[in-house]
Amino acid sequence: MSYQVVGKSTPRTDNTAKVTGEARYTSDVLLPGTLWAKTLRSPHAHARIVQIDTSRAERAPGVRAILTGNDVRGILYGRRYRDISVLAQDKVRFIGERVAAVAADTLEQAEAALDLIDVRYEDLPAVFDVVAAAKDGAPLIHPDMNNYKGLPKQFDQPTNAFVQDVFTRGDIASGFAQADVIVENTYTVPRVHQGFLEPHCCLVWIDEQERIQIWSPCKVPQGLKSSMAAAFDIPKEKIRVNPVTIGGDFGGKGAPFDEPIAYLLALRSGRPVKMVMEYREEFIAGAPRHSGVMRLKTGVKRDGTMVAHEMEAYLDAGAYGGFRPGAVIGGVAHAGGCYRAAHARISVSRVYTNNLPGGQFRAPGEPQGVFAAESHIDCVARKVGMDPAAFRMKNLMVEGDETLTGSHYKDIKAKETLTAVLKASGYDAPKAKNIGRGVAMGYRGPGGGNTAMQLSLNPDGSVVIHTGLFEQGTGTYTTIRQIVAEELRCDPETIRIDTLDTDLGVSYDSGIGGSRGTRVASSAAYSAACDAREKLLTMAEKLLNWPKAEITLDGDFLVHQKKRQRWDELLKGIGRAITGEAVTRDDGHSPVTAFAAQVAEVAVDSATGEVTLRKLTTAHDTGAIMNPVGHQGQIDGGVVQGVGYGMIEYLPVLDGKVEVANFGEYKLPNIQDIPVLKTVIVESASGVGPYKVKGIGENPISPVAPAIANAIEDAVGVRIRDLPLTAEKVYRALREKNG
Amino acid sequence: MKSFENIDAKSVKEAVGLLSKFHQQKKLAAVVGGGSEFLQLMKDHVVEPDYVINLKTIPGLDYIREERGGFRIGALAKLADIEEHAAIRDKLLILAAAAGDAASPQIRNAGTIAGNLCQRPFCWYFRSSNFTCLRKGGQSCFTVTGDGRFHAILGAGPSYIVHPSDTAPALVALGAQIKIAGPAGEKNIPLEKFFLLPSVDYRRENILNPGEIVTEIFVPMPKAGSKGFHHKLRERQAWDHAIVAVDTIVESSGGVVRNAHVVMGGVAPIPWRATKAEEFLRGKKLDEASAKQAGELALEGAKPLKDNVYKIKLAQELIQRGLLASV
Repeated sequence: MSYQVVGKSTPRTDNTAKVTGEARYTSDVLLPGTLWAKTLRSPHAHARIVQIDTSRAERAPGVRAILTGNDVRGILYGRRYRDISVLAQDKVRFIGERVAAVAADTLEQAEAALDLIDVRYEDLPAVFDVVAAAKDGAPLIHPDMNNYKGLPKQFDQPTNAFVQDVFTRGDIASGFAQADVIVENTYTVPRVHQGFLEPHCCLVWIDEQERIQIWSPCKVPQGLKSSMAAAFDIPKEKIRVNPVTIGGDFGGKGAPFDEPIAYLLALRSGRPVKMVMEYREEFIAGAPRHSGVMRLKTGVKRDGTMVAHEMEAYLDAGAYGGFRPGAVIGGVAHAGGCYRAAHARISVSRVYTNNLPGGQFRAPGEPQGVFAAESHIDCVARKVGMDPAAFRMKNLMVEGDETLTGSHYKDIKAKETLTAVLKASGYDAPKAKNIGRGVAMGYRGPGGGNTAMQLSLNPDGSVVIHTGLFEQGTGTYTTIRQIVAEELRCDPETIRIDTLDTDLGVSYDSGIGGSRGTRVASSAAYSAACDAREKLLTMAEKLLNWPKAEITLDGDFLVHQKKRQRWDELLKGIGRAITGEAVTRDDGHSPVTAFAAQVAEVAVDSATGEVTLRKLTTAHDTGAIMNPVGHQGQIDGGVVQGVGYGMIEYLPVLDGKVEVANFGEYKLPNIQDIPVLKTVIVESASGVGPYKVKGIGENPISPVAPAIANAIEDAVGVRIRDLPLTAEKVYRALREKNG
Repeated sequence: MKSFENIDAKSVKEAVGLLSKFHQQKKLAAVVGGGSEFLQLMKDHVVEPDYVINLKTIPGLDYIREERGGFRIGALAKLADIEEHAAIRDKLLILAAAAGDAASPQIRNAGTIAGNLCQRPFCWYFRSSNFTCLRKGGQSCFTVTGDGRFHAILGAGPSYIVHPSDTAPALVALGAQIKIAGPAGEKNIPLEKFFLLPSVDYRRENILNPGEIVTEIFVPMPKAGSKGFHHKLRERQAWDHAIVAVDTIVESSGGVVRNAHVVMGGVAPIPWRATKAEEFLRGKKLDEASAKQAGELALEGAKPLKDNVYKIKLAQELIQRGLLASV
């Protein structure tokens, strides 16, 4: 199939507005009489609130409303699992938890008033270690967890390990009994923050019709509406989420943050209320990627055949679990890897601790699980004396196999993708001393979701896409514009995108997430465009007497043989627009998945432990690529975040207290840290939807860290099982090894 | 950020006068140059002055002048200008390299040499308003029980900060002088004597008294036969502080050391001069063995915290490399 617009690199629709500063973000929205609100945060990790006295703050200049936990009794919120207190009620569960909120005329007045709130705490025993917290006898952080809405499975006794997922296959004990060699290791990963430029923020106004108007950079606006409606038991139609530009998401902007507080303050003060988290607050009380501890045990035959694979993962959910879409983090199950083993047991627990809450970050669970799995596979290969790439090739899943966690896919391209990356990276080429190469793999199918879209062809000649999707920053708008341009044979630049608030047009949109943007939106855009074209041609047939089947479109014109007719003139004549409509319900398991294979090449200074990432080659099996420049952007961006996760980033937490307060100390990689990136595309004829697409947003990030860890072992013979892979850890390991 | 009043100073004298006046009135006043550091301190609520005296409005304080005996650098000279100055690159390469290793291009375009030398510590406990550390008037240095991977191994206690300046170790190695203006007039002192150990005063990093400001740095021309080395080891390759930095100047002839300066950054609350190593090197032939021994001597007496033992080896290694590259 050849296309005119689809498959050609197309500049992003949002580039100009973002570069020129015209894009309107939440903090640019100001309403008359807006109050500013700030929250007082707990200095204790686990404590009973004995008393809160707000009387001094109430008398402070400019203060219009104050809330404490006493005002929000019984109200819990969350994306689906609802365990988050709007403000701490009777006890605090982490350092940084919101205890009271003040709305005042100015930000400075709100901040000053916080200092006048007196809170008396009585410390409770706290637990910070995720494994300890999961054990019987650990201080129980949510004794009421069995009563929370959205808990997947109730427990006989309340426990901190509020989600315990187990996938089994075959019989793990007999699997290990058959093995000649068993390798067991534990891997640990830290919390990392999404690092978006725009912190969480919102503006809430209760309008003259008593409707709740929200401005918030949430990538799941309909979800925000549902969460708010559920938390406060108000009808959904009373809530409207207005479109804004999102200042970076990377997975972290799907959950309500301060919206519930701003709503209550707006209700109490009768004024619009704005809340913007400082970045200091993002670090101490945002919802970073979960830290975790993963124990892996693998049994292999002497010839390298994997027979048994076991993982036990504990993810630190911190004090609250509701900041991610589901209670379960499925992605960790990728620690099963893309390998075959007759016997497997993968268990994943999400555990409450008195640390800050864990959230959602690009490919949730996978960077953790894949780091453990792909590091471990290397260890296993080395133990049986095989080259890690050859070991993978031997055990990779093939057509007809199912994953260790029971998913089925067709057109499996695992081996092809691995072969491609080995070749492109020069994996087998000779290398100098202290140079190492490491390989790692991952896979991810496009996520499912629902959306509705309308396309109007207007009498003024404009073509407008009406969508409830908020552009999260990944280029979904650009892609849907390409599709409409393709199907209507017009220039994509002439198509306008009208972002709908949550009231209008769209009954439901599941928002952006899970690499589903292109899968779900491209389907909807295609159907809406086809519907509009069909309606236009039907009208043309009637008005012009041209046989419908012989009419083609060319920009502003309808064409039949030598004759050309502007379609906007026809619409002017009949006095109305033509609207194509589509509803995509594509929320099932994807029939296809996409593999990623990467090779990292490092140079290690064997005296200091410094690791220089020299080159990173990434291969992806893809479906049709809608916008090559956007696709490449996703790959490069994912790899860069993977490098950060692998080598630099971590949120240091000491007894529940986050130690960094700004980006000077919380280090994200800079351009100087990024090596030559090379991409190889392994084209696949399979995909989903009208254009046969696969997802790309989340695939590139996960294998990077283990590829680097594997390369370090290849270079100097030491294995680092804890992220990030710093010079210090390599140095210590070298010293231990060399004595 | 707390509100403050900004005053544009027109002369050094005026700035000094204002500082002294506010000090007498018990008002908190601070000076700002490039602002890249100061603004962050205010945003992080570490420093909350009532008055900010802007020095950028003082004309002619951003000069870089080459004279017979060395370079005179005005307090307001930008790090980027030092990094790119042709004569400095030619004659004081380690200074240009150190200035170029600081922060990011944007910050080097705003940040001044005096500001770089007067930076407050980048210890995360000091910078975070979540911690009231010893240096901010609290009871203890959290590094002792907390995460001290970036902290001091030499000259520390009761505070374990490391001095964050990239240019300071290079300037100390070059034997720079610093000029300070104050209510009593001007004084010139060796830069090495400018910095304060926490055992002397753990609330400040240098000898500046209320009312005093830095006005000039003088860097003497290195002696003939001198060779310098600068290396900064860091976690990320731009906009990061040193885990360990080493600056050396070795004056030698025929491979024999006449005089050596070995200074480390990132290891101590001040730029740390390895005097024992310097003495050992005098008159020695520089080879693998003597360079190694100098590295070991330089770290003698190091007392690492539980998380920063690795700094010792890193520093030894860098010194060894630096010395070997200097002959």
